[in-house]
Amino acid sequence: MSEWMVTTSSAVVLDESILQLWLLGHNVDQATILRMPAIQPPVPSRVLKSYITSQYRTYEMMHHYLHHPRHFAGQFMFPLSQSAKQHLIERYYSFDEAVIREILGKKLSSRTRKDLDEVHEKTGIKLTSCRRQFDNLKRVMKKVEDAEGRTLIQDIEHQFLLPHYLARQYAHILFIADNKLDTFRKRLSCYQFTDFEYCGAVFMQYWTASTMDTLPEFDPHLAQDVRDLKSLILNDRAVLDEFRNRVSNNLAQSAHPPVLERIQSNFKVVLRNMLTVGCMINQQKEVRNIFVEITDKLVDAFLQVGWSPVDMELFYNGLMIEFHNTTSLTSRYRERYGTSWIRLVTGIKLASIRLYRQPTTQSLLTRSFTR
Amino acid sequence: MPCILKIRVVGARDLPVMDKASDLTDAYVEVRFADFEAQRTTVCRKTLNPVWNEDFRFEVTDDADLQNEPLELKVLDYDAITANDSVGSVFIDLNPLLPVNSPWQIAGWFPIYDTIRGVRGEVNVQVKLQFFGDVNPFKDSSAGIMFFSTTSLPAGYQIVAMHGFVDAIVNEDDPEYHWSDSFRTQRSSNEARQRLLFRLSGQLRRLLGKETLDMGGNAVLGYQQCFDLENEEHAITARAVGTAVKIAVVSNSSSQYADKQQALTLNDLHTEDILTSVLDPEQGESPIFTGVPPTGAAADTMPPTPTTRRRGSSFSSDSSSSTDSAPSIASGAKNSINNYKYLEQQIFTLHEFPPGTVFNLGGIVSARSVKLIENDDVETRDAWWNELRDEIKSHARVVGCSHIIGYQEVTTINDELIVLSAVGTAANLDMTAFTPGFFDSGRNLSRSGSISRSYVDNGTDNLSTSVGGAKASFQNSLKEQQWMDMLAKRKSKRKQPSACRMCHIPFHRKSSPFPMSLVKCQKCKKKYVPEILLSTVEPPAELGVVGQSAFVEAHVCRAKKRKDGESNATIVSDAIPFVEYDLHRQLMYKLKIHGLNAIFGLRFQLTVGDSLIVAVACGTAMYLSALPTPPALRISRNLDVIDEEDKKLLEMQRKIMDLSEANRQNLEAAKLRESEDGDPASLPPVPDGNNSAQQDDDSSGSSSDSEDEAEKDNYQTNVVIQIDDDADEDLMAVLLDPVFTDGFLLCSTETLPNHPYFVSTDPMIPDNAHLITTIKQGHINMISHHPNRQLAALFRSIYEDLRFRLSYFTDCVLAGITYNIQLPRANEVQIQLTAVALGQQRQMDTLEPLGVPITLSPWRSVPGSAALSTSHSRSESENGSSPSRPSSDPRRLVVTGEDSSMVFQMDECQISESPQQQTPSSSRLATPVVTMTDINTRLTTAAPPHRHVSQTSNETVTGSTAATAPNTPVRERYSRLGMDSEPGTPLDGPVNRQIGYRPQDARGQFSTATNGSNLAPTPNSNNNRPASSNGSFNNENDLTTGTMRPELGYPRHTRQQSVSSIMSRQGQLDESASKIALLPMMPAERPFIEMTPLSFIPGRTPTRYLGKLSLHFVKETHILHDTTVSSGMGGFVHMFLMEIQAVARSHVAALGGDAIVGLRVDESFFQESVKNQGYALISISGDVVGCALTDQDSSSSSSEDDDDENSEDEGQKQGQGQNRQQGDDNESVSSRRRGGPFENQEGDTPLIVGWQNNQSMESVQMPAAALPLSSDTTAAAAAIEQMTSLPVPSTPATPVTPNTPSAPLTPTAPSPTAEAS
Repeated sequence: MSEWMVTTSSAVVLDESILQLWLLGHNVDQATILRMPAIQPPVPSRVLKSYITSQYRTYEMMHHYLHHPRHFAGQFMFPLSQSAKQHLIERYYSFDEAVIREILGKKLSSRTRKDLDEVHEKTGIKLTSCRRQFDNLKRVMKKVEDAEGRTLIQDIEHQFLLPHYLARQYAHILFIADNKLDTFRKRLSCYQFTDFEYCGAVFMQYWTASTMDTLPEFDPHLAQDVRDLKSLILNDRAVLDEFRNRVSNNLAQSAHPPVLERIQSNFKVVLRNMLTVGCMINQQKEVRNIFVEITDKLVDAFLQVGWSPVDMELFYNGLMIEFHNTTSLTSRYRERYGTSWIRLVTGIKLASIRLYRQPTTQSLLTRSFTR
Repeated sequence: MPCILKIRVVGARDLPVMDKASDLTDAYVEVRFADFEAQRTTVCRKTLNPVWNEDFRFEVTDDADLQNEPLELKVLDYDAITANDSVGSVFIDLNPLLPVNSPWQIAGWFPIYDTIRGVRGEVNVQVKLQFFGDVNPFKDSSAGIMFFSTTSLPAGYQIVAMHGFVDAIVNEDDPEYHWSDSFRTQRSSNEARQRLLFRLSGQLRRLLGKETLDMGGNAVLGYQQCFDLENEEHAITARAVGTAVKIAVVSNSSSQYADKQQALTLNDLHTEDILTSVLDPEQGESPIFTGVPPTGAAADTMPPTPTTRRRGSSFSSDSSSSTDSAPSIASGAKNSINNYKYLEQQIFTLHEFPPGTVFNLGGIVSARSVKLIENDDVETRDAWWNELRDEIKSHARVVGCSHIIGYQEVTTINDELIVLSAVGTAANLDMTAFTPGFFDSGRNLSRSGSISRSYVDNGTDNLSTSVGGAKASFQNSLKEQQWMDMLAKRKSKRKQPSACRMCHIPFHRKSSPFPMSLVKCQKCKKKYVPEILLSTVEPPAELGVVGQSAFVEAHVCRAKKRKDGESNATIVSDAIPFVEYDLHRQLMYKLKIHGLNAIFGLRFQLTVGDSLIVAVACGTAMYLSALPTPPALRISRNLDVIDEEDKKLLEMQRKIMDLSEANRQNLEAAKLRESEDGDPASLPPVPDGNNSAQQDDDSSGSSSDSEDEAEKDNYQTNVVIQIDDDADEDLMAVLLDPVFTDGFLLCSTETLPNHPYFVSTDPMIPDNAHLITTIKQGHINMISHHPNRQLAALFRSIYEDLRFRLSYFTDCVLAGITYNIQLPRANEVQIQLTAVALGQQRQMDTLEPLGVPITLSPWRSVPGSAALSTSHSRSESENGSSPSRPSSDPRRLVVTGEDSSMVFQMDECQISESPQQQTPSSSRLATPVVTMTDINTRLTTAAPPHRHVSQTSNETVTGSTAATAPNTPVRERYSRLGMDSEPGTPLDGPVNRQIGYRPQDARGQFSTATNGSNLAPTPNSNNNRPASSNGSFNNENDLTTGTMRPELGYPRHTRQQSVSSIMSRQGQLDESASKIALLPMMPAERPFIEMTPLSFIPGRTPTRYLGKLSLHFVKETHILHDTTVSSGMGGFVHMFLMEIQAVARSHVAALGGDAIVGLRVDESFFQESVKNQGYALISISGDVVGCALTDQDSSSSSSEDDDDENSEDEGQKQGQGQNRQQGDDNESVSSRRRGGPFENQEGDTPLIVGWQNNQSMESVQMPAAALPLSSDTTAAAAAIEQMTSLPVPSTPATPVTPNTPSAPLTPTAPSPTAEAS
């Protein structure tokens, strides 16, 4: 004695609010309850439920095409305008930052997938939604692994027809996941997804080799250069002194000179830490800790001396500019390592400015409490 | 005659993974046709997007095979060890290739359909037919006959001769019950069944065509086919009926007004003559009388059947009166009206006739018969139907009508019991109308004037050719419209008498066949009319309908004892009269409640199940000013009021009576107003008392049974329903129909008179027409005393549901409602409803409370459609005078862009109330997805806005180019050439193609001497070329070769022309363009393919008919019952319906069409077996048409678009890149259209690869050049990776500016904004 009702329309009607509930992973009953108050004039819940059910069915049927967006264009199943398809794809591949934060840097394995219910508990996002986000990531990862001839972002845009900004986010997430950069240390708990994504973008931009390999890796040449620079600068007293003086002069000339004497004393430490971080990128194992290293060794160092991000920025800029003027370093070296130096310092600068934040006790607490 | 069938299997895409190990598929295709040995392609290993490019040919000796057999392409996965697995099949019906003006080839992507798994991937196939036609008079085939499902005259054609009713019947064993079914797989028996349905429908058309040919016709209108699944007998009977006609293309030349005027005056004369011929003598005569259709008037039993039941209702004109004086010009009329007694009554399946054709409507005639199927052969069945038809003809004769129109045949089967029903409307037709040149004038009287099916122009004379000036006609159409309107006004005045003429009884009052009450016509006060007019046809345009119409339904549900064989038949045939009586009574009461006096588009459905008999009638009730206002309804109750329920009923009873009285008064008022407006001099209505005094026999509608004798005398007395028991109560309870206050209207007819969508002057054109299919299964608890009410509740819930679903429309009209009711199991009722929702999409702000669907509706995105272009203009005006506005203010445009293409609105409720917020973690974490994207788009970078901008305009590009692509004709022409010039070589190569495209050369070869039958040459009117030369050319050919293959009409010619004109305006592109443009097989983003059961599409004019599509599907799947939405029978059916629509769309596209009209569900069947096996079978058919937009001057709009694009070029670059990357064939087109600076950019990307564009298949391997290289480096959009070149960002504010889009410094920003939005 089954009762059912089906209504189809030759035009696919996308109800944005239902689509959203679907993406959020609500089931039909939950969605009905949620939508009910918004419906004016009120209708029997049976009617609303049937409406939502058929919306859901439509979306469920779209799964296939959403998983293979390139097949979406020519198909006959869903007569939608191009912009609608684009919109659907965009919505389907959009993600919750909170969820991604929880899996950022983890291996995209089935084990991680199994642990998603923890993510669900922590973020309050429905498990189905978490799964979708995870699966999207994994699918993108799998697809781009063997693509060639394009940069990662281009390839994601191409394969999944994602809008540029979303493709970039995916690229950065994948980059962090691929290098297994650890984001779960206690010190890092105060940072949001966007912070890491930004840093990922910075690393990808400045520190990876410019090959066309799809999943970019840290540039070993850069690491080598940094190692050379380390010995060149740190081991030569004259170079170090001149460099320091020049940087502090440079800073003194700026509009709002930071407290200079502190940097005088810390200059070498900061420089060494910076170069150490630069050297890390060569080693798979060490590079995992790059976020912690930057926060511990650089951000915290500046925090201790009470510098603001503006000060940091000025300082790093000074480092970049004065490197070329440091005459005690042979001009040959300056030319040879100039680019690498700028890449290194720019990367560090952007990342550490971004990560310039005192871990508040509260965020530390929440983290440790939930973890 | 030998024909050569050429098939090219190009490739496939998106195939399913058949090999789990490799996640890939080794696919090959088997090509099967008729009894030929199957041919197969090579195996394309390890890919989901195989490319074969292999050619096949079948040399077919018998034309009949082409008609009977579908071409089957079966995609399989090769397995070295085990049996090859089937991926699915594509069945292609070759019939559309046969008529003389056929599209010549079927080419495109087809979804691969599997009877178990549904649609999986698509295959690209091209089918061409080198067809010589069989001139042998003794041939079996009937190739070349055109079939139309629509029940009205297709736009652009005129009827030259009506030949009458044709029918065919075929019976075959059902493979589902074949002996081998016990060991063959589920899949193969499903496929066998599907194949059989294809074959049967082909055979039906061949037989019907043959009959038509014999009669001298060249087309079948109102073609209806049905499949009776006779499960007990293990057979399938296929039936088809239609109206054989000879049609000709309405000449399309932009004729001079002078010409027209002549024609018009001629016509005026014409009609006047006819009128006088009819009227004059009658004035002398004593008037006539009429009757209310008596319920269950005459019932007699026919010998071979257990029972036959019929209901005749109507009237007849005293036609002999007009005999004597009929002048020669109305000889047809004379024939039809005068000689009805001597001539056989004629049956037409058409529901709509050109204005001026219908003289009288006599009322509904119907006949039913109950039979037992006993291994009968076709002849027996044929005899059954012939009996019914004879009977229905005799009914028509009784009421003095010469024709039966709006005729339909339906069956219901319960085990071996079958109930055959035939129903139609008795009428007198003016057969002279069916001569060329007749309707020129009257046309615009019909609502079609407003709704796009206007026969935009009309030539006077010729059926032959003419051609060409389609564009010109378009330009003229506005003026013409005005002209026509003027004319219509003038005419309608003059025709005043004829408007009521239609309602006059067609027989002499004295000789009324039934006891009926007749009253004087309220308009002319001379003739007699019945109190109520029932009809199955569409309301004729010239009928004076006053006020709003209402949808009325009657539901009857009765219990039936479970019996077998003869006794079952006896029970059923005994019950049917009472069922019909109840049905009729309900209808009458409802009419009275609404205060209306006529029903059009009335449909009956009777279904017999194991334990139930269900009957439903639905129609559109109207108020005809010629008929009297019905009396108000009274209800008297003899039952005691006992409980709460009774009180409710009493309350309802009061409401009904109030409503009835109110409606009645409203309508009276409306009528008075009208009569004052229209004809102030008219006499006040004759007092009713006088009338009734004169009447010898007078009883109001339902009097015969339920009314007091005392009340009989006075016509004006109220109709009283007596409630004596539960059954009466049940009847009363269903009388109150749900009222939808917010502009949601229902109608069973194609149009709703006096609704703004359908008025002929200044119509409001609905911007959407969505085909709605609803299937509801519910059960009826027979223990209750109110089965009718339960049934009615099921229907009501369907409407409630639809109203809610369609709340994104304002002024929604659900038109053309049809039902199919089945009783799958005891006490289970399955209602299948098909209708079209016409409506205006709501504006975004008014959608606020509704939860705002984005409707990505076809109309919105058809470029140049009103919506888009207005949004364009809106954005312009908003942006003011800044000339570089698109690039300077992208965000602004985003908003408008979204407005136009998808209305969406974020609902606060969701965001603020989503339950995650209740979880301990911060609300920020729980911020829904949207918030983020939203923020991204709004706040940070300009990149997303850019994207949006480009998208909107992109859409314009794609859409419009796809729609207008001039390459279509090129391709067709080319391919045709290939066929004609070298029949020996299988398929042409690229070289050949290059040569091939030279229209002038080619033209000569097009005309192959074909088909020397008596077909009138019916060249398609929409020719792209200059009219005069081409036309004459055609004519010459005509003379010399007898019949020629006329030029193809090109779809969407007007738009095409506009594009080409644009191109030439932009300069010089033509030459190169046409070379590049060769061949996208299917423009990538075609405009949406519309599907509608109506015979027209609002806002579009069908420009050419591309053949009849008939598709059949079987699906059988194990049904899961879990918590997901796609589980259960509902999920299964939903998916199935979506799939068949997808397949249907692909076939339309492959034929080069834009829409399928007159869509019919020929058979459908959904059932869940005990073992959770879902089984579904559906057979649909309809006419494939090519369309042009009519709602505005398309040429100007598309040129506007083009201008917009050009000005937006800068901003668009990236987006266009994306568009290109989406990859299908439109690239060449879009690049070409864009012209100018961008042409070199990807000039060589497009790809003259094969004879058609392979790119669409290998879209994955797009050249990198097509990628969006973000060349638009505005400061804001500067993405991080672009900073490589400027490594030292100098601004101190680094954290804020060049960051990634998703990097707001304050992470809490999203939530407040989101909530605010």
